[in-house]
Amino acid sequence: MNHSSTFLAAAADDPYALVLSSFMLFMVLALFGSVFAGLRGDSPPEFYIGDRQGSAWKNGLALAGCYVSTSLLLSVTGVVATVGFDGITAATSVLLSMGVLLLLARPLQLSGSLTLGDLFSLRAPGTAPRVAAAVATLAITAPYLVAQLMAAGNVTAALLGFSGIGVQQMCTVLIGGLVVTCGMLSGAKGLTVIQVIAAAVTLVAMIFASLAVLRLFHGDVATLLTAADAHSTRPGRYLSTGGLFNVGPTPRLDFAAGQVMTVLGGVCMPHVLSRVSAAKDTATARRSVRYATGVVALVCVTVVILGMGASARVGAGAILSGQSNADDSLMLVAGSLDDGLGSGTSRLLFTALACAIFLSVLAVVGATTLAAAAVLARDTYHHLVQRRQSDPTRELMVARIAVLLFGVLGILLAVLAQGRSAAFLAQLATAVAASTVAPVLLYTFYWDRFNRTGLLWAVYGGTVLSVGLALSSPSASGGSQAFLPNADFAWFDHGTPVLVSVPAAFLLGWAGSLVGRRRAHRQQAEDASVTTAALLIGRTAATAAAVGRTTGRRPSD
Amino acid sequence: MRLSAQPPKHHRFPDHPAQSPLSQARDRAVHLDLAFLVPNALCFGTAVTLIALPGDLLATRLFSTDMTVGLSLYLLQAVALLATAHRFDRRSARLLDPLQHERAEANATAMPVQQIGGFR
Repeated sequence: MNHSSTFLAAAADDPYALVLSSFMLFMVLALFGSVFAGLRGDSPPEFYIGDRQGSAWKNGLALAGCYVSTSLLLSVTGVVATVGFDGITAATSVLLSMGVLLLLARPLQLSGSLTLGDLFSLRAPGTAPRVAAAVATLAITAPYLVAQLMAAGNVTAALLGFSGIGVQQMCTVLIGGLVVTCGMLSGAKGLTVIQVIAAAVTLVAMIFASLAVLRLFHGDVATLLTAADAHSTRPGRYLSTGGLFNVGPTPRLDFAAGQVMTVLGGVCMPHVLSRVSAAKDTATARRSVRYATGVVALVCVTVVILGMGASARVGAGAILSGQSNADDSLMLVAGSLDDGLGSGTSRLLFTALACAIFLSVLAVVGATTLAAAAVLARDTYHHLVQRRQSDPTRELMVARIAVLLFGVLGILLAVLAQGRSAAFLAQLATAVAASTVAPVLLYTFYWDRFNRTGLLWAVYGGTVLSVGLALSSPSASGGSQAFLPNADFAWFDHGTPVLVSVPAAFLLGWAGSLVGRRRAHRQQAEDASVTTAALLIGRTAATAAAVGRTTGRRPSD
Repeated sequence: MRLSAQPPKHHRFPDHPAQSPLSQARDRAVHLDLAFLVPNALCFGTAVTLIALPGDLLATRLFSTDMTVGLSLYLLQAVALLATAHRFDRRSARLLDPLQHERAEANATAMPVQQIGGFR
């Protein structure tokens, strides 16, 4: 008997010992690697986004690592498993949002921004845009962090074989503590290591699990689809829309708005934008996004296959028994592969998937915490409190303290919210990102006349509308699956606030710019035109062209 | 409102003599962006419209196979994204990346970037 078969036999004999020991070993190695990578002395920019030295492949994997969250791995798999087509649509929208990121990669890298405040200040210098950026960043990152920490607590407790709220809360505290410590010590350089490992492990584990599911159906996707249809919550209508949003006056419109939210909001998360800014040049930024798109595409395909597999092998009834959501689908299908693979290999696959989910949480939570800390330290402390005169060492210390405070606050909120709907919080974060950051970025990069008034109207209007309408929707209160099931103050009868908040934010940005334009003089308008060019072709090229324009010669002469 | 992504008619041709080098470069960038954006936006718009419309067209099976209109549309979106992303990257590398290097070498005495636009 060779080493491999001995190992698999041991795995079959004592599955939990193998799972736990492999899991712990893997986590310790990943955290050690990240802290070791970040031990060298940091400047504040290096702490926020890294040293800008990575190759396109490394950046692409890191981008995929901070983009593939538990929302995609657990929630979308669950939606595919239970209702079918709407989950496939959601997975496609996640992929399509990478296209928006590809479009934004060049101007993002050329802007040289470290935080959302730097991006907002491109068109509108001053303190007000930085305050607006801080408000938007915290409104996005706080619910997103809490949702990810809650998911981490659930998965770890399930891995240990527990399902009680108390154990989940304890796991949330432990994992949150690990991530915050890692973020404080290593900064973006260390988190890059975790993100690269997370993307690689997730991709490999998901591909192997999908192949195992397909093998059980002899590679026949049609048979898998038929079995998934038969065991879903909607037999005979598995490939029809309407499974996810089926309440309210306009469920189809709500669902379509949800897709727009995913496409715009997914890429406008501050930690994702920082990751693209971290590329060393535009070519690297573009290639990073391309490679990340490939990785995300593969993960989305595997999410769909595993969702169908969960429905076919476990059944939607068993997945939903005693649960308010189907987030356990992925681990349930991984645990149901014994008869196809043998129990040893099946356990290894289960462990690999658990590690992948845990690493995804580490990568996303770390990046989210760092993005929030960066906006607090740079936009608030450096630019507002110290008037851009702060000492770099002191700014770095403030950033580390901000990581600690924001992380601890996130852990506390996650503990309080444990057992409630994490999907509501993730959707809230995405809705705020789609309603504030997306309009500002698109206007900043592509419309010369966008100015400070338009920016402030779009950011504050988008934030108030998205948060207010989300809190007034049936997802927040008034139902057994709502975030606050015992309260009922829902009056906005739609599944998602972006139906109103995204068009309103774009309109507010446009109207505010028209109002603000009356105050601007011609020189500012010309500068805005050059700013647009600089964001599209680079600062040096735009500067050279501007010199050519003012001196009446071609810059290349 | 005129978006800068919609250049006026005399700016259609990148090397038109009436254009400044700045607007030439800028138009080149905008054309590249539009070439990538339009097919993907059309696919996504079609899918979203079909979702929002009443009826169940997306669940209609194609030629009595297991493939439905919805599945094939989403497959098309994914393929279109990957194909246009590859093309976008190649064309950007050919048309825009050299521009930055050329200007950087030729522009040692250029105006500081802080003096234009909102950069600092």
